[in-house]
Amino acid sequence: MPAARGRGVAALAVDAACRWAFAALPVDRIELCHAVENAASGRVAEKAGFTYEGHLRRSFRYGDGVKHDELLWARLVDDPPPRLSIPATGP
Amino acid sequence: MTSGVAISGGVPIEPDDLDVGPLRLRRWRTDDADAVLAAQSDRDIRAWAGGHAVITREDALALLHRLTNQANRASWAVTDTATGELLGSVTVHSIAPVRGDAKVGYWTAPPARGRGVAATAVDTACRWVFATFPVDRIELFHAAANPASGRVAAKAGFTCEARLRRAYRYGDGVKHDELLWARLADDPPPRLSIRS
Repeated sequence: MPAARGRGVAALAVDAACRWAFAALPVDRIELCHAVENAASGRVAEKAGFTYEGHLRRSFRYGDGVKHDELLWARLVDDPPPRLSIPATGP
Repeated sequence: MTSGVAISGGVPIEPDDLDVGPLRLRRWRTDDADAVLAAQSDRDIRAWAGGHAVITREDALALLHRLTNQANRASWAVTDTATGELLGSVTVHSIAPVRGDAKVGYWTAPPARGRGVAATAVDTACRWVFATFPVDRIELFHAAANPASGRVAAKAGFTCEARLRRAYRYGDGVKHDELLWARLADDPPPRLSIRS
């Protein structure tokens, strides 16, 4: 939701979901792709402990009907976990 | 191009036979099983091919059945036009017309290596897929520890896009880093030749 942006909510949620998946499922690699133009998504990936692995050319058709380049990130189960915190709302 | 090629409801693709220089890419036949078995006994193919190991003639027949009957897959036997000898295999799989992409895999029998056979076969198969389906991106994955496969990718006009850490479990049971390459429909086509 737009009103909740800028506080690290997505990074914290992604980190929590990944930790759950690593603990609950036989999964040791989680991939994350986002459109190159969506830099905010890349900031989430980095904060959530993902490593940038490459740039995919015209790999996915997004909501505008156009194929965009994507950045591919991954987090492995033994990657160092991120240190995250969420600033409280309000003054 | 044939008009009979279509993807719908999991119907197998029957690719055209394609002649390129001294090579003929043709549909698989059940009597390729012995040559497939011989090639698949190669150590490098066992290590890097992924999927099911081919140990017996029945395994080879099962592989041929998968190559020719799975939906969204166009697979060719790569043969020497003059002698009919099986030189290798090229398969474009995961053909996804809505997404507009596909993936390619290949192997070359040991006696046919070092001549550019796989690069020419991959290039030829990709051109056919680009011309036949609404696909404008074909991806190619290989283990980073298998640089010969990367040489094929580069020669066949692919661009290396990413290194995926511990992304796929190969024949040795271990997850290896993979390199991801892609060729787009409007990438400059490679200039290739086959050495005899």
